[in-house]
Amino acid sequence: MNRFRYIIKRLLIAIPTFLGITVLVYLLSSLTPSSPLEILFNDPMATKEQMAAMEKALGLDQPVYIQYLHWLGSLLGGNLGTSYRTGLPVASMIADRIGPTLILPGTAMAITIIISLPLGIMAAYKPYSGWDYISSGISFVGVAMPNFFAALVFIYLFNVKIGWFPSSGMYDSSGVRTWGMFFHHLVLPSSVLAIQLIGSLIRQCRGSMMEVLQSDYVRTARAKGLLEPPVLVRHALRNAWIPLVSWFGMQIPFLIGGAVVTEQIFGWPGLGSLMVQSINARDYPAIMGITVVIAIVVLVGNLLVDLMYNLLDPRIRY
Amino acid sequence: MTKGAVSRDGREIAANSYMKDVIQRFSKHKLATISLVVLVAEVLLVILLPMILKLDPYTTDYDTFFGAGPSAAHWLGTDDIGRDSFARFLYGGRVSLQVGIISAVISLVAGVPLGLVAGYYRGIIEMVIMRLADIFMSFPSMVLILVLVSVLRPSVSTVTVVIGILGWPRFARTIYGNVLSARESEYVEAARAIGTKDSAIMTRYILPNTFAPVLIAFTFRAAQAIITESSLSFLGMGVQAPEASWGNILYQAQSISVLATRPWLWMPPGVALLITILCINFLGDGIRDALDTKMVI
Repeated sequence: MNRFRYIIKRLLIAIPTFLGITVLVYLLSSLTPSSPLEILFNDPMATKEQMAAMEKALGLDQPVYIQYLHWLGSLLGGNLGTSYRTGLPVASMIADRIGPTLILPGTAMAITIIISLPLGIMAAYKPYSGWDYISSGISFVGVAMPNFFAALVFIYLFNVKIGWFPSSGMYDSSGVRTWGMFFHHLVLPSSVLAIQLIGSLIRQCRGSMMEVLQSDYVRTARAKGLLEPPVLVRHALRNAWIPLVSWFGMQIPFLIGGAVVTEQIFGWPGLGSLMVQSINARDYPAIMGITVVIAIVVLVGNLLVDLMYNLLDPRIRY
Repeated sequence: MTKGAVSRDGREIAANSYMKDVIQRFSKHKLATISLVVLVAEVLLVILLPMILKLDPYTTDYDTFFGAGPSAAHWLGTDDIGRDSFARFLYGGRVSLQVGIISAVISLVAGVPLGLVAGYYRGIIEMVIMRLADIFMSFPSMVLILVLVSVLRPSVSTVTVVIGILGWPRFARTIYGNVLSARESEYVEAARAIGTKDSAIMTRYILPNTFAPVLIAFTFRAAQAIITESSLSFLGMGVQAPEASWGNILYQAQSISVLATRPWLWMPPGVALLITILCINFLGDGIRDALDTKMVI
């Protein structure tokens, strides 16, 4: 019951946040120096009447808040408008790309967890040992590494120099599409995206494990004569998870921001590279649509993290 | 502690001022000390070296090949239109560091008053400001910055201002938490009792006590701003040519031929970025350890 009320409360908080973001996005795009008319109607021969008719057809003759409500209305109906650049519905352009855009950070997160948790736990288990210094070193460099530079170095090493992995796209140009090819293309971009996360998770994991390992229940478990592995996994890690979940929540915006850069470098056909293309073309319907969809992804992500938090730590009462 | 204080058993206690304590603790953090030296050296180099060597980052040298390799005349070769890469590297460093620091100052100036007011007055002001901070922090700022920069024209100043303004929530949150505890303290209560104005309590009593966390937030924010600026410039939406920044020098390496055949062009700014961020982070850690007066050494 309590949990149900909590979910409802979270949903109710998410709604104004979402509306706030739509207002912000709309205001921003209405501030553009070049009006959509100039972009769409890039024809010096156009008469005033033709321009006016176009303006009316696009609803641009109405006050801003009416335009906003129109836009919001069609947005909620799933209509994100038509791209200036491609002439396609923005919604279908986004639908094509949302999959790749979620796979990239998802894989990066998986790589991060596989690498960072053992390193972080080892470091916390034997602080100030060789392991601790190695993992701290990895963590500091990882956090400080701008991901586009990591991308360039990875492409230089693994593509240009030793040619193990492709550096661009999701499939090669042969037209054949296999899962193997897909994973082969996924290796570099997802590793690059994982670098900063690895750095930050090692630190976080070490910190929260150290705290838990000093707790009374871990001492009790050891006193009972339990072996170290079950103490670490069943007693310590289970409690250390809780701050790690909130860490995970905080990474969502960074993951998506980082994905914009990474997708662009690796020509990964996701929302990030679509965003960059749209910005270059001043394709405002697309820019607005993508921003709103990213907002939804972020809000849903945060909601899921909150729920997980709630499931993992029954002590939390709202 | 005042000078010449005497402890209960009669021994004289060393008269250490707060600042002396802080410096002592900071210098114990070796990585932070080294980082401080590296950062100072870096700032001096990017400012002085172009003047000493009379470097010109904007003019094409027609006497060498465009895109030439390193030589005595051009230590890091020349770029695609024959400009000296070493000069551009140093000038780029100036811009990158400058954008990082100035935008962090803007974030501080925008965020500190908001957090202060929210924490001091509570109520509806608190709710509005802190909710907004939550929204800003949960949304990928990179996306927002891209949208903003696309609306405004990208340039050094727009990038600085946009990154600066979008950095306010971190400062607001940092200071908010501190104000919440400070406003319940005896000295604030005493100030209120003698009729001190709210504005005076906030600026003269509470604000100085939040100096340490704000300074720490400042270092981390500067590092983040440098990363953001360079990412934007790398995407071609930050600092624009002919102006150089570390990010926009790396932009050239998006071309696979530059990436593969001319590493001397893109490696230095990338490594410089990495070292700068690394040093700022160590510096922040060092300051945190040094200013945390509750910590026992």
